[in-house]
Amino acid sequence: MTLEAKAPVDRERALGAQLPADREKVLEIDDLRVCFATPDGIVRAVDGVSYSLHAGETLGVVGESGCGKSVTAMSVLRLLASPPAVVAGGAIRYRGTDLLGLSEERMRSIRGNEISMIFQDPMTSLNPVLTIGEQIGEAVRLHQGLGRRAARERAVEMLALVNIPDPRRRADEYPHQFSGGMRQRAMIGLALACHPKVLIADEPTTALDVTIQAQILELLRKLEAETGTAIMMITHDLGVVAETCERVVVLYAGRKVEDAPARRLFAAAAHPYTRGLLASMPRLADGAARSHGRLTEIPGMVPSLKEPVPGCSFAPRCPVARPRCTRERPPLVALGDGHSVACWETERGA
Amino acid sequence: MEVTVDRLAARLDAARRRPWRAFVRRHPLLAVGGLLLVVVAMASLAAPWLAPYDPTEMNALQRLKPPSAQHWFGTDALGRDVFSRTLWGGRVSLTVGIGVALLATSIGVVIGLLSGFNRWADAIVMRVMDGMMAIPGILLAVALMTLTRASIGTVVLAITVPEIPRVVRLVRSLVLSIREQPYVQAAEAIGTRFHAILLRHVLPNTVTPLIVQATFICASAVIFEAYLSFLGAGTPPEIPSWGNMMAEGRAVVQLAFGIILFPGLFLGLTVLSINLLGDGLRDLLDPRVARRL
Amino acid sequence: MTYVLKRILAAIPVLFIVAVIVFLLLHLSPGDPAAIIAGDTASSDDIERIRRQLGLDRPLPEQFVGWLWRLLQGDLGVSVFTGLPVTTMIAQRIEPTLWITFLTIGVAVVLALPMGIVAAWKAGTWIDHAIMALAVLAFSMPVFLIGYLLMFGFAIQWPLLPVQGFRSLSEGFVPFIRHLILPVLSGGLIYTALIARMTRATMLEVLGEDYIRTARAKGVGSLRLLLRHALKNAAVPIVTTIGLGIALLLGGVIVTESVFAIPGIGRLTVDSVLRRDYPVIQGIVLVTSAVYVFVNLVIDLLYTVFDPRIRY
Repeated sequence: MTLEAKAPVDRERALGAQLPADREKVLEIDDLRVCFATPDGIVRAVDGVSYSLHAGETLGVVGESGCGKSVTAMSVLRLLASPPAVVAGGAIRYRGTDLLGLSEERMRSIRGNEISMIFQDPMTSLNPVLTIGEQIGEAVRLHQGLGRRAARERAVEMLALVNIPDPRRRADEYPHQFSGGMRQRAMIGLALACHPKVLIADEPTTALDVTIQAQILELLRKLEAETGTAIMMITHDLGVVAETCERVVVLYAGRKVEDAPARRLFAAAAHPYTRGLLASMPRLADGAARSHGRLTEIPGMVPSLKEPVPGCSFAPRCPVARPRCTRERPPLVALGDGHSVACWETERGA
Repeated sequence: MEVTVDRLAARLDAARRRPWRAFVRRHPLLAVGGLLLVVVAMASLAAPWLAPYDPTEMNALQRLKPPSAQHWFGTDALGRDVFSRTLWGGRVSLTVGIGVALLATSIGVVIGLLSGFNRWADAIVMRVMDGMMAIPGILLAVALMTLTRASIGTVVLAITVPEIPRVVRLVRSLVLSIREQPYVQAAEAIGTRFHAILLRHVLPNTVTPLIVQATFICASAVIFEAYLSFLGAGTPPEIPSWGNMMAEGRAVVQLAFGIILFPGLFLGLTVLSINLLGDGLRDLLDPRVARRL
Repeated sequence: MTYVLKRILAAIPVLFIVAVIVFLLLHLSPGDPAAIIAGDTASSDDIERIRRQLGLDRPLPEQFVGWLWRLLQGDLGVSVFTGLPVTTMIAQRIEPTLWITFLTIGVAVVLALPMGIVAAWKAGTWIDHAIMALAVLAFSMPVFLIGYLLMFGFAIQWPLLPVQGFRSLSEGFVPFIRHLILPVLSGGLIYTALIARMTRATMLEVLGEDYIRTARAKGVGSLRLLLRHALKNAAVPIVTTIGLGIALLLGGVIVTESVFAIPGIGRLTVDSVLRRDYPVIQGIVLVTSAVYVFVNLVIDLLYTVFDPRIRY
């Protein structure tokens, strides 16, 4: 039994069945490099990563902890604290304009307005001393100049949109009166209040129970279809990717290793790391043999990001690595149908 | 932008090669505070040799003289050399400061441990501590001094009493939170004896915060002693202490400001260095404080 | 409502414990309290008189009950030195002290909060180091040194302000203020430094929280972030420090009154210490403690305004 991508067909229908890659590039990350200065050395968290998000699509950014996916996302909105983080190179283009070169004031008008972000832990991501309505309303008051009453109306609207029952009463309540799932919904409502073109979701369901997780993903799918917002879904969970994403980018140790439509990735992943990830997902037995076997794993550990790696970062753990892999960094190779991979040995692994 | 990264890398290498420089840069407070304190402590300890005059030696002909070559800080109303008295005064202040810090910490630890481990004791102790903390420290010390004969010993005791609640609260909260830790509960579950838990798990974790707190108590005590002496409720007038000197200097403030200025400056510097030391220790020993390169 | 009630009820046992402690002080001190109070030159008759006056010849529980009963009726005893009721003596001197204390709290909060906020906002930069260095300096200088320095600078060398003394409000607003400027500045410096340090520490902690990141991601600007999002969350510990710091402040006020010859409670304390007039000192301790407990109770109640989680 293999994992299949389940991105709903009606979305493709709604967008005229265009291939995602044919639509306008709403966000383009171009050879981004981000370093952190720590007492123990310089950490190259993002080492030349490039990928794009197109209008109306849901892109999955996958990788394990420390691979640079969150740092990339935070860099888009320039939310990283400047010491110790340093953007060492590259560009991030939103509809053609390089965000890294904008003034702080311009950035502020983009944050929450054209590009929004939601974070992992809903329990701590909302301000405990302000009401939910105030927090959502603040976004529209800041960016769209609405008055207090109009802002509150919009807040109630958003709460209804994210399926929170009795939104009028709830808007005057405080975060501690909401459950975890409701808080995450409120966060989503807050992020979408100004109808942004891009929503960056950084592990939005990791901190939630599985059933709540399903509800949130369902909500995001519905909202994306209704509003046409492009979503960058950052996660380490391939199951989430299968549920929601049309395209997937796989990151490893600060570099991009694979970029493909979701269906292709699950059916025919080209990079040994991606294959390793897919193989290591535990499956329900479909025969007595499987239920007693040893779980598959990828041996070894992620390399330290403090030392520059001349070759492929995955080489030490790769089952098909050759000497060339440790010497030269593999370039991105297009395999057709929007599928590209950074590996010297793709043909061999296929 | 590659330049910035290279610059950072260079600084890191430099830090690795010259650890002392890096230490001072990263912990400026500790370095400055520690240095100042060492200087003051040395000066005070060496008072019997450094001081040019006997601090109690009176000279009717040399009253209220301004600073000069013979009397660096001038003389007071009884002709005593202010510089010598200032040096000797340091001994009193530091003795009181260290004495109070040690005494308050010791007593506080005992009571705090008792409170943390025994629920009945806790109820009583916390009530009493709340009451003690409701009385402004200086008034409590003043009240105690009014009832006893003044000496350095009684001053130490009088200042210690209001400082005890601080220590008790800290120790108690530490004990309570450590006892909640899974590793302690595991130790209790396998039958580890009480004193082993105490020695192996509880006490080691209290040492660092206690050291930091003791430093601040020392600074506080030095100021308290000066206040008490200034108000007439502290060190007896025969013993030169900075507070005493300033109290005596009040009468002649317009004639010889130095009598108030010099001991006051020394007092301020001493307390400052102890506070800096405390701040520095806290930054050093508390792993949660973010390090800046 | 329950929180408010609980806090008020919790204050009562504290006051009781204070009373017990103050009562026991007299009896726990080494030596014979009556002899010490009477002084070195007293005859044994004097000592006996004092002993009877203070009720020290009665059994302990009886003393306590009697003393407590009188206390609850507002009777703080009688001064050994002047023979006047302690309550009267305190009432005569309380006005200047109250003025100085409240003005100092006001000035300190107005100065310290912005200092702490700016220091936290610009943490690690020279501004932060400068402000914190100033705070440590202010925290370490004894009140009387600052007082005398200010007096020397602004009253003696450049006679801008009066050297000492107090003018009540009824004598005109300007003289009232002029006489209070130096005492308020010198007495309040340590208190200001304490609040500034605590403000900075709390704000730093709050600024590291996730919801601040959310607000930034929403496009909220710095000023709004600091004041509306962060400060309200930092309010509880800061206000707590303001309340608890009053104990420190009182010490400063007492000393300042001595420096600037202001006829307030501080002076009364000093005079009573000199004369070993224990009943007056006891009365001052009780009154100040009661005020302190009351102020902190008000602060506890203020928490509900800042933090909605505390109402339930």
